[in-house]
Amino acid sequence: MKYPRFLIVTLFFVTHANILVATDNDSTTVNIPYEKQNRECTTSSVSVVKGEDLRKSQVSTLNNTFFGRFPGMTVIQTDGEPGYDDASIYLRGNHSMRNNNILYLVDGFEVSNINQVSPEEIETVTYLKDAAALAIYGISGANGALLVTTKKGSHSNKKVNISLKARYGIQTPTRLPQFEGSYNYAKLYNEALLNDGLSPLYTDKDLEGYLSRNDPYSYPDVNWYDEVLKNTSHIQDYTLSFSGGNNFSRYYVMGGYMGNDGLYNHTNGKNNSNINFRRINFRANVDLDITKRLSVSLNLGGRIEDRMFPNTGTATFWQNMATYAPNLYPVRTPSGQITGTANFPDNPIGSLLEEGYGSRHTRDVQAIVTVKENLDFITDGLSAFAAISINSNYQNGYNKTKTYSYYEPVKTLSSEGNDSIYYIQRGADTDLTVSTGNDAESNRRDIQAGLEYEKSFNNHGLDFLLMYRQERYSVFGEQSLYGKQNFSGRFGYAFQRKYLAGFSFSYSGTDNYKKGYRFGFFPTLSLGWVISNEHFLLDNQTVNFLKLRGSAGLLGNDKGADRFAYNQYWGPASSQGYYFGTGVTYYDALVQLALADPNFTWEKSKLYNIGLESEFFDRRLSFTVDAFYEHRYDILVNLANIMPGFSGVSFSTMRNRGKADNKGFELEAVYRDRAGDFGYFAGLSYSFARSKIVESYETPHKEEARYTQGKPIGQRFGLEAIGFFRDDSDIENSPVHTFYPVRPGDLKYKDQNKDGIIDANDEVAIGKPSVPEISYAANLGASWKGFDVELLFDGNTNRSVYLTGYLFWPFINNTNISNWTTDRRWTPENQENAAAPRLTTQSTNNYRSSDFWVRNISILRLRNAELGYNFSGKSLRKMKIDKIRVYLSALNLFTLSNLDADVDPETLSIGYPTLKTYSAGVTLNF
Amino acid sequence: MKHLIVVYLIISLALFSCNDYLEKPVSSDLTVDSIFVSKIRTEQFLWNVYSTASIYEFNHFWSGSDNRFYHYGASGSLVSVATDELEVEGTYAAIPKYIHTGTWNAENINSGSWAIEFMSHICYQGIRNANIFIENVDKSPFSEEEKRSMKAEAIFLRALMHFDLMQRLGGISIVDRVLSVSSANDVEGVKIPRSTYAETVDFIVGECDEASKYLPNVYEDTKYLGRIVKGAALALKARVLLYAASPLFNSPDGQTYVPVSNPELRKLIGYPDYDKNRWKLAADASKAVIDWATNESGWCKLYDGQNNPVDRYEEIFINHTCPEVILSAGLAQTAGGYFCLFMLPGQIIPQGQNDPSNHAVTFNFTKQYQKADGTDQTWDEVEGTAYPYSQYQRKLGELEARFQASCFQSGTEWSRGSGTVYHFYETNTLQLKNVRGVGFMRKFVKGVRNGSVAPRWITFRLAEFYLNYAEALNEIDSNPAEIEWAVNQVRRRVEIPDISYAGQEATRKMIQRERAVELAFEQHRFFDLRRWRIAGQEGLMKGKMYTLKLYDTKPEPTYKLEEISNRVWDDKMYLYPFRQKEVSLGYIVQNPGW
Repeated sequence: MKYPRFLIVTLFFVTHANILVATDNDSTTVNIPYEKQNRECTTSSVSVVKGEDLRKSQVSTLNNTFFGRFPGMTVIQTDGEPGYDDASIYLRGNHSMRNNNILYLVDGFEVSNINQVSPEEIETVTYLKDAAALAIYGISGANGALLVTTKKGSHSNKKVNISLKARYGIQTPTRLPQFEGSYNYAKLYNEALLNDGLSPLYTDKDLEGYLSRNDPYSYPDVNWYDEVLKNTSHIQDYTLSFSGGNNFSRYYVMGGYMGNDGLYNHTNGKNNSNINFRRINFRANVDLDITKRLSVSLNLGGRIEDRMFPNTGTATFWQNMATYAPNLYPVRTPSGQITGTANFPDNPIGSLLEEGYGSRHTRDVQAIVTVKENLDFITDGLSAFAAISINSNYQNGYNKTKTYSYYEPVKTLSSEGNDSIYYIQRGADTDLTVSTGNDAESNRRDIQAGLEYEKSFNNHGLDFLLMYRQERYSVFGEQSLYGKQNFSGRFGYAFQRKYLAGFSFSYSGTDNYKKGYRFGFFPTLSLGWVISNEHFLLDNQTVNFLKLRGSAGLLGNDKGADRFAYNQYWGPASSQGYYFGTGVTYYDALVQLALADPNFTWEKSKLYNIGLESEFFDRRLSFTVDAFYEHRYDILVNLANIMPGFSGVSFSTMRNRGKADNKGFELEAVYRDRAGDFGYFAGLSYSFARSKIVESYETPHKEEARYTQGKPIGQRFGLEAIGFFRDDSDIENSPVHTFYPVRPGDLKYKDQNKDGIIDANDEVAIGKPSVPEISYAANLGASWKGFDVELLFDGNTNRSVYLTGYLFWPFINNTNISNWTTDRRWTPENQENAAAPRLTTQSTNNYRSSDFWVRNISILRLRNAELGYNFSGKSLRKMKIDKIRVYLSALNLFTLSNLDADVDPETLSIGYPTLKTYSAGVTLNF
Repeated sequence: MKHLIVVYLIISLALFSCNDYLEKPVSSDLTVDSIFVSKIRTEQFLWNVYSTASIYEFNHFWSGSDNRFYHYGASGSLVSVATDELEVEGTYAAIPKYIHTGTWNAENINSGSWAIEFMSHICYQGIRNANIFIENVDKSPFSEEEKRSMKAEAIFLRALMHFDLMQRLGGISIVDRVLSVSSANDVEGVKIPRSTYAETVDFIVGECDEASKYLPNVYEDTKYLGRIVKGAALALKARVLLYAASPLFNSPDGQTYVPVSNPELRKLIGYPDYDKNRWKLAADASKAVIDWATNESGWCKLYDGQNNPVDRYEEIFINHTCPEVILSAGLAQTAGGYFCLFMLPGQIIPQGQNDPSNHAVTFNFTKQYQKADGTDQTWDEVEGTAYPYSQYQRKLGELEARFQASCFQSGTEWSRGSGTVYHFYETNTLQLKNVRGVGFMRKFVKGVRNGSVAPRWITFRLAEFYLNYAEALNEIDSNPAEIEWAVNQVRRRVEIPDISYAGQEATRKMIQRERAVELAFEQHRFFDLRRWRIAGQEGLMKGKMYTLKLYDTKPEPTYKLEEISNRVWDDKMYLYPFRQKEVSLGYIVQNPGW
């Protein structure tokens, strides 16, 4: 048993080998935070991905590099706006109805977010999955954790290793929905009015005008995408790093720049602005061996983020572009002034160019100082450590705003009967006004200290760690600081490198609970059996490695609760006062707020995991499988749902009574081989997770089908559509639809409870959960001489999406109609093939939550493709260059999906689209 | 060894601060004890009781964010839209959608954040607030006398909320203490079952008696207009006893409104036996209100200001200090805001909203009004036949003052004296064409302009108690002179000739008609038709409603008698259903038929 003697500090004993990362697959150790550990000894379940793999995706936000990399993780990106394009991350699906937020750590200390850390400074990202891996996080570990470990210098023969990387990418939307032009819009709007029993708005003459497109002022036909958007946007990143070390010091220093602009055209960045996100990352990690026993290290990392954007919110801006009717007004008047009307003042070109801009500036610094002392003078293998960390995040806004005058076109008939237009001025031009504010600040001050012991003798391997952690967290504008304390430990024992046992615990608490109820004890037991070390497999040629491991433990989740909810609060409620007197004077009133729970506590999770790790055929094939079962209880639920209304307690009454289960598995196989100059690998992963609400304390209903209990978390409910109304007699003979008077062509719903009325009580579970139950990925690569190619596919299935919003609701609030709707709409002539309801300007019947708009979808996306060439040889060495690499890569190159809607299957909205990126890059190592 | 010191220094530093590391810092949070040590906060809590009490009886505020604010009255209209009084236009109104169609039920009446009409659980929240106040006010630094008086206000409000529940639901859960729920295990303990109808009546009457001992006759400071006076407690008692004596609950033939075999349920929905003496109690209680007004209050009387009967009657609902009003509530919004939105006619008053509800007076109800000379109008119109517009104007113009004050019909001014006359058949932007009745409702909203202070909503006014008194006396079948006196007090004020006693049956009809006209749209008839057990008669809450529809014909505009709606009624609707949630939780016995 090879326990490395330089293993001095284990702040995280959770961090163990993962076979997929075996780029160095002939070694028996893996680089993980603060230690190298023999992967045979681990009894916990983790996934580790190297920073250099993550860097292959050129994106501005770290978690958009996670697609397909971690078995058990589902990543979904719904917004492509530079600087605000964070993906949603689900670790083994959903765990709780209340809160599924993940714990993020950088170099062992909690941070709010890891998304703006540069992939270049990352050594590894570790996904901690099971109780053995998460045990020391105790009260806040249950939702899973992602651990970023930054790069360190290492002892090197060279004086310094310099790496320069540059990359430039061009981005286009994966998809933009298509909307109708003015002629079709007007024609279809008339159809909608007729459907509603109203008279048409557009005359034949109008239609003729829209068709001929001769007069863009009387008969405008504007596609706002064309007016506002460029074809492409740009993303670029550059990093320069230095690393090295000698017998008593090691260092890694990095600086990086990332810039990503948006798709908006015509902007100048002075009195208006494209979307723009620029980030500078820097890092200096230094380790010093001060004496033979004492060492000190400093991890200093930080970043500057600057974002600019037009004044109109991005969601609104994109909605306006998509939904403003094409004939609403021309972009400008004949004399070049911005148009606009009283009801639609936000001409997108006006919003973009004439309202100034906003910006947001973030500075974030994390500094960690660690002291380590080898205590082998007490007993061999014992050491002590202590670390202090500060993390400061400051944000502020700087806006330059103005208003502008815009001109409403008014159509009249001249005396000769011709159209004539005059323009009414609305609004007023103002100068740019500078405002600053919306400051936000958060600070963390954390301390960790502990003792570690590691020793092997004869057949026995022994290690333990005892640690104390405390965390202080403050948020600008909040009355109270956040505090957390944690005593944790781990004891590990290995016998003959075959039988492994671990016991971990955390005794941890937070300030959010009542005195005496603040701390919980969270134990975890794990066992492992390295079968390949048994004599019968010891010299087996096929099976190189085989290990079975399992863990069971208790974890907590303290997120998702109101602050100090054990206190009964009283206070003023919004407009809860009373009016007295003849002048109707308002008198403020005090009310009892949410009903307190003195026993208020955290969610608890019983988490079981069993896993098998294996390697075959000279370690060419590796295979890992993990299966888990989680029982979550003490989830906060609102007892107001089951509270007798006549008790007078119908306001929020949160209690720890909810329960949920989650179970699933992950498979992962990698095959890697080499034949002469030709090397190749193929990795496949498949994950499944299914949650079930076990107890939810819902409002009692007559209809069993309306309960979420027993269904997965995130189950959608709605009506069951059973076709379109054919005609009036069909309506006459159907249950009464109560949402809006129905007409032929409207959706007809099933009367689930058979009470003759269609209303909310007829809702049932429709479709699958919104978070995919199954995610899969494939990573394929090959190399030949200096060339290499790599493809990363990622996708998911067992998921329902809901088609909603103005993309699917034509003419509601005068919105435009998409081509998709035009092609599918119900008309008296097109009853059989109709796949969308009749057009209407009024009815809300069709846009109720119903299975008509639910789609069960599967996606497979080529997330990343890269083709590269590495130069090397004598001539380079003469120039003192170790390596030059040039490469082309593409992000989101293509998508396969069974979604029959004119929208990206991941974005699913008319907001800022998901982007496709083509990049070229170069790497120089000196 | 010295290096170790660094490590242990940090460790001990950390552990040193352990002791109260997780203690909650001092903050500005309020607890119940800090409320009742302060006069101001104690008062503020009492205002909360007012705020959640059912004084409004009216959907005065339309807020999605705080549902405590629209729990009484119907969504988007007056409840009178459910009776023959009014029709309404507009997509917000819930009554045409659910009550006219008979599609309301235990699930949808009051699903949680939204109600068709009335939110019983929010009413109990008000009761809880009253109980908290009653149990804690003694800790406050007010004088004993002030405490007694304030406690009496809370007791009255608690009784009023119980009455509000009772008039819709029959016997209800009586909650006279703060129900404590500190853990989920306490949920069973707060499941309070229904009391019998008799017990509920006795509870409310007892509370009114208790409150009236300590309530003042008047608040000297006019800034407190709207606070509870003694007369309000007497008025509530009188109304409760009148309702309790009425046929729906005190059935002379012993029959229930739908067959009920379960004797326990029978007691929940009314008295199981008939007792004529209940009318005597009602008569005495109503007389007590009149006597209090005349002899004790020092200010309360039937309003007799203004020069002509139309203005006089109108003024009662506009003038905040009208001496006839015993209890009224100030409304949150100015007139252009939500308060009037649901009542204003079309676009005459620019309220900045696109979708007014346009309450309109039905033809069915118009027939309740006599001509100014005290005789009936001749209504011989036949459905579908066109009649000249001049006849419409003449016939409606001949009706008595209260009609002119309550209805804005075609050919009249909205603002009297302005000279601007509106003809509804004309096509213009005002959209008056769309009126769903003989004319728009103008009671409550005359003189209202965008931005002006909204009128107060009246809970009790003195005229009601003259009519209550007359009704109860007539049912006892005694004292015709006193009956005539009471009814004619109300009639003389609007200068319409007296009625004379004509035997019990005919007089009952007269009194009912007088009540319809005098208290029109004030949300009485909705309950009166029920307690008289006549709601199911054709043309009242059931069946066809008519309008006189105007046509812009040449040479002269014409009008036709036309059906405007056909309403569904089922006798189970005499009482509301309890919300399904409470029934499902197993502690509430549902009313019959639901």
